[in-house]
Amino acid sequence: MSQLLPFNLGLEIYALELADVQEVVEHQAVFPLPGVATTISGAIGFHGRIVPVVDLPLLLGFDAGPRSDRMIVLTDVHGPVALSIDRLQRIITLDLAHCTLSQSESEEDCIRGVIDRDGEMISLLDLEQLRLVLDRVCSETGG
Amino acid sequence: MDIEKYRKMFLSEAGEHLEKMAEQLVAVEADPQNSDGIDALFREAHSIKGMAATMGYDATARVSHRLEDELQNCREQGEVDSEMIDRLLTGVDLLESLLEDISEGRAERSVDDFINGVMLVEELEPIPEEDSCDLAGEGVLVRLRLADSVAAPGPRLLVLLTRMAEFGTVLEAKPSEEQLLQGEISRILLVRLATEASQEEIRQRLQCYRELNAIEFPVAVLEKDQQRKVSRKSGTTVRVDTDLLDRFINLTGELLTNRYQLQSAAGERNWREMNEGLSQLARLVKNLHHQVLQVRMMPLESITGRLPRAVRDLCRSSGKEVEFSVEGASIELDRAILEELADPLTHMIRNAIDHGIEQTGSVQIKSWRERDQVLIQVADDGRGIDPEKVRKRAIERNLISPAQAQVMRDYDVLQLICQPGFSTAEQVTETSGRGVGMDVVKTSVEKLGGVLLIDSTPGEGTRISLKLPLSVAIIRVLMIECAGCLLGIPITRVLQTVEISPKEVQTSGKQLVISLHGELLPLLSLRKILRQPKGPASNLLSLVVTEVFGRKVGLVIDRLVGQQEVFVQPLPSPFDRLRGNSGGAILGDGRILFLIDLQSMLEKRRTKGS
Repeated sequence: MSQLLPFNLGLEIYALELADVQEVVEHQAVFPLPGVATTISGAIGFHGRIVPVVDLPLLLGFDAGPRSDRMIVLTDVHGPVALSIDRLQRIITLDLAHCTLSQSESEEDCIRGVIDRDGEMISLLDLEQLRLVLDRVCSETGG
Repeated sequence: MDIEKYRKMFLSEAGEHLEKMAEQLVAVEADPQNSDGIDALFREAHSIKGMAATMGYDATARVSHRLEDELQNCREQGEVDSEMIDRLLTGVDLLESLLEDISEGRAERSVDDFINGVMLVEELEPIPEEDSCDLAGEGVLVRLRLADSVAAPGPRLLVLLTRMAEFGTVLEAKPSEEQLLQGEISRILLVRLATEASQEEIRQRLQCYRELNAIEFPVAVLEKDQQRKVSRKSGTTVRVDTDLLDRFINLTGELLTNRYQLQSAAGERNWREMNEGLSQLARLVKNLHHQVLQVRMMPLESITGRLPRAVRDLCRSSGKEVEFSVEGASIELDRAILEELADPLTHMIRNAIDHGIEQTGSVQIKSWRERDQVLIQVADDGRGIDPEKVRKRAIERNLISPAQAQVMRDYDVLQLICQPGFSTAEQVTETSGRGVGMDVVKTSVEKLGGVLLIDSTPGEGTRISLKLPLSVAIIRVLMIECAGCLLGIPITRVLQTVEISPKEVQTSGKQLVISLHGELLPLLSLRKILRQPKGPASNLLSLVVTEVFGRKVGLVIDRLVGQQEVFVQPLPSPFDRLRGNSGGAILGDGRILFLIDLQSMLEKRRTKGS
């Protein structure tokens, strides 16, 4: 059984495996980084460390706008990096082996697969692809 | 027994002994009858021999033993002739290569030539890369080396390959079975093996093959590259004074006591106790912080130690006579800074000898501390740099316009040498006589938050001054505000801050300028650089005077906030690649301050804009 943390980006539902999440932080002041791409909205202080914040909806092509007060901080293996999202949902437990995990066609959308949960489609975020996208943003980014 | 730990210790200690040997050799060369020097050399060689023999590094032990013998002869003769110095230096170089072999997990290279006395200085070559292992994937890698005496290596390897299959499945082999059958000749067999057997078992069961020179278990290339990167980035071990360790233990004890004190005060809601505990905690943390920084500090000596040898070699090859001295070698700097400084320093010394000194002269490194900065000066008494030649060249290279060249002061003109594109290797020797890669030197110094300045008088010599922060982790910054961002500029990069009225701003062509101390200072808007909208009009402009690409500029910002010492953290990857951002710091009130590196921000715009 796997535990997933689902969240909304725009009208869609995405999810992360709980094992990849370090913490969910709330009401954190985001300090803007000077002269970087808008998809990187700044950084937060996280237990004495500086952790960059990525506007995930914007990065994945959703509309710009105010985000949830809550942010997901990924484990150090993936950064650490904090992800802004639109709305956080409750943790769900499901057996990934018994879900239809349809493969994503695009390599750019950061989706590892789509889970059909009683008619509700949940996209599983692909953190490796996300890392590649961020790599590109950071090496290209200008002012 | 944790061999790995001992190996690291061996490498670090042997490395230090070697460095001392190189240093001593140069000293002995200057004074061949210096018996103390010869004794010291003998002791160093002896130490290396002892350690290497204990660790089972035979080649290293043999070479150091040989050096010991040679030094014993010198002792008896009471002097070391220059031929012997060369021979000893060759030995030191060979030992260095052997240490490299050991550190990379290779077998030690053959030392027979040296022992038999046939190796010349030039013959020392690194083991070619192809020798390293490039079979990557699952399984265990095993490398077998045949002794040089084996007559038919191909068939022997074939036998060994078959033997390897008994341990499990051979996934890949280089050379492969086919290649061996077709008569490929090699003395090294590399096998990727899927096996249950441990390295020890494999080693034991192969030991009966006398023709094997070495049985090794190399690391796959990918992993190895990473290891190399890490080990190059920072020395793997640090030696700490036991006094310092004791102080750490004491501090830890005090912190533990403090913790209980705070805990009980919190339980009793005793605010007075709580406040007392907190102020004690503040004191302890400050102390701890100070001590930890001490561990990171190393004397300048640790990088100047090699220079006498480099100077000697340069004098040899150029036929010049140079007196080299280091003053203030005991000045301490953060090890991260020292590591980055080693190459630039060698570079400046080389420049001074190649281009500054004509036939005989002196090159001097001087270092001293000025408050929280360290100054390092590299000075020579050579021919100096002619500002007129630099002017001419800078115009040719389109670095400045002829009109600019006329109004620039000589001192400012000299700084142009560090501009990228000022010189290329082949042009330097015949023109201005200096500058191979000075831009690289300057960039490395600036990356560390330092400043580089050149001063020279034709006919009298050249002096290059570096101003460096003591530590990279904790630096004093000028805090500024711009477009809602709290930003920091290392104080070492700030020449001056001024507040002016917008009326003082003039235009010169397309450029906004002000006149400061009788000089025209071009203005740059930080908001514009950060691609932020224009700020509200104000009747006071705040300027930070700094230097970019070797030129003084006035950076227009929203507000000067103040100065503070901050603990700088790099941003986590990949955000550390965002150009112009050299890390950040969390302030006492929880705000985050980002350090900006103006030069790389402008570089970014330059490349993007063009």
